[in-house]
Amino acid sequence: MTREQFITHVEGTQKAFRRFLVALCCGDTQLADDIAQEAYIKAYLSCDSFNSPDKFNAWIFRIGYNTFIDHRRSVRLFAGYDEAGGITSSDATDDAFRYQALYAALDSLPPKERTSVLLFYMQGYSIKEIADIVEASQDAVKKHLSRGRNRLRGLLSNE
Amino acid sequence: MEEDKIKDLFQDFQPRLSSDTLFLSGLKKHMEAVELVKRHAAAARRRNRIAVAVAALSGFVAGVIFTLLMPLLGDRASALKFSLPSIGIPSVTFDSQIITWTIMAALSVTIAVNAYEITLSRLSAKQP
Repeated sequence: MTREQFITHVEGTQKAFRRFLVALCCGDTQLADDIAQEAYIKAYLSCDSFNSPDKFNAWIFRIGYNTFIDHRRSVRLFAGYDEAGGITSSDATDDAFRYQALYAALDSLPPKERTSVLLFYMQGYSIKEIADIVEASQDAVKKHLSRGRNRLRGLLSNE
Repeated sequence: MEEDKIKDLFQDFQPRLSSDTLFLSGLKKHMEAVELVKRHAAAARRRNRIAVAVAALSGFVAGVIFTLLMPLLGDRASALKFSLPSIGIPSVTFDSQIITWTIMAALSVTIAVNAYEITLSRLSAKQP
């Protein structure tokens, strides 16, 4: 894949990818953009050996998910969304306020359940595609989806 | 249905992202940095390959020259004898062939290693 082809793919995927990462990071747009940049660079480093342009979307989502998990392991993220509620700096944007309930609900889900729910409902991926992205079995993805869905239902119906 | 509500919830999720142009220009800068590092790494690998080829050739040529000079070197080496202080221990004579081959091998390796170092430093000095 040439540089120009790679940039074309980035231009086509970056909006949906960044939107997914914002939800995965529970509203932290700066972190989401950092992870997106890191994921695209990782993809660029190995794009010479990537020969399936039609699977670029799923590929970048897999790299993004793995980068997010690596980041969680190396950095202690917000202990809970409750702490974020105390932020009064410019980080408290209109968006954070508007989607506060959603971010709180997503933050209560473990990363794998959160990822499966977002990939299924937001991106429209199938169980098989989600299993490829998160490198888990289809049964495991079904369990994550089912648990995630039940938790979200419970949290959102309490509003 | 609850499932539809969850779907609608995510369909309506449109967070305000930073400018696409800004994101892409930041990414392109990172990509240029990656390309610069890749170019340097490729140049270093190329220099190393040339230095190894020069070293191998130098070692081979040195070995051939020493082998051709073997009859002359053998005669001189056969005259080598070592004797220990006169405390009753007899003098020791080493096999001249083994000595000659050992010296030739050591010299060939030394020439090859020096050729590698000199070639690598010359090629590195030429780098802008």
